[in-house]
Amino acid sequence: MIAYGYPLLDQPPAPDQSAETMALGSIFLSLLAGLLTFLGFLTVLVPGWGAALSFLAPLCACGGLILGGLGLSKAKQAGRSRDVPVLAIVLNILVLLPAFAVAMTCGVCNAVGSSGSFEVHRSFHVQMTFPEPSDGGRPPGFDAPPPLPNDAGLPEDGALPEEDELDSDGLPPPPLPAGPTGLRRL
Amino acid sequence: MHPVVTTLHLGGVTLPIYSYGLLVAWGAAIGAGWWLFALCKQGHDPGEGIAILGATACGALLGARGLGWWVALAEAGQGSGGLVFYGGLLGGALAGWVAVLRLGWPVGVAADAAALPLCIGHAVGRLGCLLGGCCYGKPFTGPWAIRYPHFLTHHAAGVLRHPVPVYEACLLCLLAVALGRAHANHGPGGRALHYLWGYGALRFAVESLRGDAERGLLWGGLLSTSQAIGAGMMVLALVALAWRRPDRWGTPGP
Repeated sequence: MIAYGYPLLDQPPAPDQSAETMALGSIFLSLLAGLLTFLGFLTVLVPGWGAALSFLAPLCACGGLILGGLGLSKAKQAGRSRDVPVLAIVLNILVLLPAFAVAMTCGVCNAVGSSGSFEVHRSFHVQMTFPEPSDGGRPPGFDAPPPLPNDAGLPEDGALPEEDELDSDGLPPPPLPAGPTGLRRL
Repeated sequence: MHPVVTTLHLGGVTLPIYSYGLLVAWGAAIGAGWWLFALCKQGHDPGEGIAILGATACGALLGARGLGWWVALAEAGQGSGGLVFYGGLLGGALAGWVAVLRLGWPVGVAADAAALPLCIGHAVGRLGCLLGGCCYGKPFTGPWAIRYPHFLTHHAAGVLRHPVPVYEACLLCLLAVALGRAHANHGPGGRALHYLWGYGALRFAVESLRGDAERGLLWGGLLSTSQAIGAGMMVLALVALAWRRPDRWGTPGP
């Protein structure tokens, strides 16, 4: 008869399943990290969500690395097979690299875009032309252009060009910009 | 600038491979692998080392993101922003420290083993900054000035500037060489402290050539956030090194 509370001496000790449990948890986290990486990439244009999912993915993979490493250590100490923990670590490393890359690019891009730090800059080139007043004057604030040098090929007396100097449309050569700034960048 | 290395087409989904993310991930992988290899050569358990790396990476990500969020909140009143290296360093160091203590590893030895891989991994990551077009410098017309043409650097595009990421990568490599040659006369953890003051000093200097205003400025623009953190880190590491001087205290600190 065996006294109550005493263990059977010939009964083998219960196997420590913590290594396998950790390894399986690590594999689960690697799969979750892969899913989150894909979702983070897909939602890169959704403010907030892209950054959250992208940054959660490498965190899951790192958590998987912690579990896998501890599982490997425990399996080594217990003298058990190390195949599953090694598989878990390899899976997490394989997932961590794209997850990290997506977090560094899509996640950062989404986070910065969500915060409104980016501004869209456009440059408009507007050609401002003013109709010549009937009295020959100029709008207020626009002075007469500086006198042209003599080597510009224009007559000094200000006479109109002859017929053969006009182009095919019957127009004189394009005038120089009138006013202080003919071309403005807004 | 080559912001996109290549583009993958997978089942109708176009996936651009960004050089910034690729090189930062590559730098982190180089640093982590180097650290693990160095400690496994000393007889430590690789499984526990991988667990410490995982914890460190978790802390680094949370720290880098958290400080980026805080800087954006302080600057624009809206918390978001990108990643900040100092936040990653602080978060990774804290998480790694806790993991090392929990697993019963020697803290100083683990920290010393991380100094050189951190320098090299960080230098590789800075090349990612160069290719991605961020962290640009002030206008400069010297023979080694570079021009940023990409849309990501709209404010910097078209102007010759200091190649600040290249400066930092080169200085980090020099720091790695100096740390590798430095005699470990400050006991366990001495090399890590030398890294901290060395990187703080070089970052303080390099930051003065940075031209991007988005990184956060303090005290009316007198110092950038990274300069303030670098100066504080440098002072703390030098004080710690002085405290650990064997000729002053007989034996190195714990």
